[in-house]
Amino acid sequence: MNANPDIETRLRDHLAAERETIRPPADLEARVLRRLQESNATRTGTGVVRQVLLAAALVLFAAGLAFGVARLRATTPGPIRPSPSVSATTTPTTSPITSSRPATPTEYADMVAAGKPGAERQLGIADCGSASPAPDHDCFAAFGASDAIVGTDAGYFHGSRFGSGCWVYLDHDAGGWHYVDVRCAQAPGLLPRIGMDDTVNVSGCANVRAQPGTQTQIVACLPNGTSVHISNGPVFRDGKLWWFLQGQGWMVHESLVGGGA
Amino acid sequence: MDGREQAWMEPMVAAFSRPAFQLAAALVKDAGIAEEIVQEAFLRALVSRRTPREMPEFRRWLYRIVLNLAREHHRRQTRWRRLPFRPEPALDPEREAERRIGDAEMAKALRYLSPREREAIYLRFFEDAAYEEVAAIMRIRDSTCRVLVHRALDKLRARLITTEEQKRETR
Repeated sequence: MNANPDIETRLRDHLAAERETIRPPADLEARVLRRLQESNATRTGTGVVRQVLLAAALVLFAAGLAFGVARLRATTPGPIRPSPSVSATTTPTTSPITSSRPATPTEYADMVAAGKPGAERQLGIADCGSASPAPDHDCFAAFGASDAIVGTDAGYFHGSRFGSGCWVYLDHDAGGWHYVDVRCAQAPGLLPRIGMDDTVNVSGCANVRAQPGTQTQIVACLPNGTSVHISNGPVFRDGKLWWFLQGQGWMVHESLVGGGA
Repeated sequence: MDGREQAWMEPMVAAFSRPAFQLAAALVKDAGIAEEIVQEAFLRALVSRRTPREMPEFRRWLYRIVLNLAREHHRRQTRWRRLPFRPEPALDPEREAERRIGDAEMAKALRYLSPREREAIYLRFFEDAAYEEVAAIMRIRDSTCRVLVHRALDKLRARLITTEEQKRETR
């Protein structure tokens, strides 16, 4: 079948040697992502009309929302309004819930040191070291400090394996950071984090609570597949991670990520 | 990039930016231009509504953009070479690559292939892509792709034989 076996072998050897000489910059991924981020301003800047229409729609929506809330307040006595603040149901020993923030370089280094071994064990892959994930070498690598977030007694950082982005979730106490969970995906949908939309992933419905914790007041039960927006967290309470769903309340991590990693 | 785009694009960048860089660098023989091509390719993939969201299709799409950008680069270079009184550049990247790589005759022979033949050869033997994959990336028929690769291999063999004969004659 192969009419050119000799030339093919020689060509393959030559191209393999050529590949060896081509070394991508160490921070290539970061540079590409930065370029994509920078392009955002240019792209949105060109659509001035679209922006004006969007702003008008937002103003109308906000006005409608304010009107609706005012009417609801007038007609309903004492509605439950979950808020990310300390309640009477939380024990005095727990930290007050604060807004999530980017991790400092030291925090990020500690999170990676505590989280990587657990993530690699759960995923069944080794540390990438100085290499990158590739089709013939699946491994785990921490992605960079810029995406690491610290919540209340909890946090997460970004990693990757071949073909997927991963998020490693941790809890924090006086003993330092501890690995909790890792999730990898090729597309959004099952990776809870701040500012992202997510989907409830349970059989039946998942409890929404007024405060994070297994003994706090249940305010709703969202059916499987409900779209939610995560606006605060993670918070570590009662041995579990919790996320605040905008306009709803607190939901346990497992109800947003489903069963398997 | 909004949050959704970022969550979609980050794994793609993690998976494909390095292999795409290597392919681009192999085609244009210049690391700086290769990086520019990779960045531009991801940007075009991000803004296009037709870009596939799944990994294998996204890879094909991205590589197609990389090939187009490499072709654009070669076209610009060719036009530039045709201009009169152009001073010679201090270092020709292609010649520099030939000098560094062991099989200099093969490197030289590759330069005699047409751009399309070179793309097919690099996708097939540098990227180790199957013929079907090469055809899908280049948007040509499977049979056309096989003909293209075999014709390129014949050209390379003929060129290498000629070089060998010339060497023997000069000894």
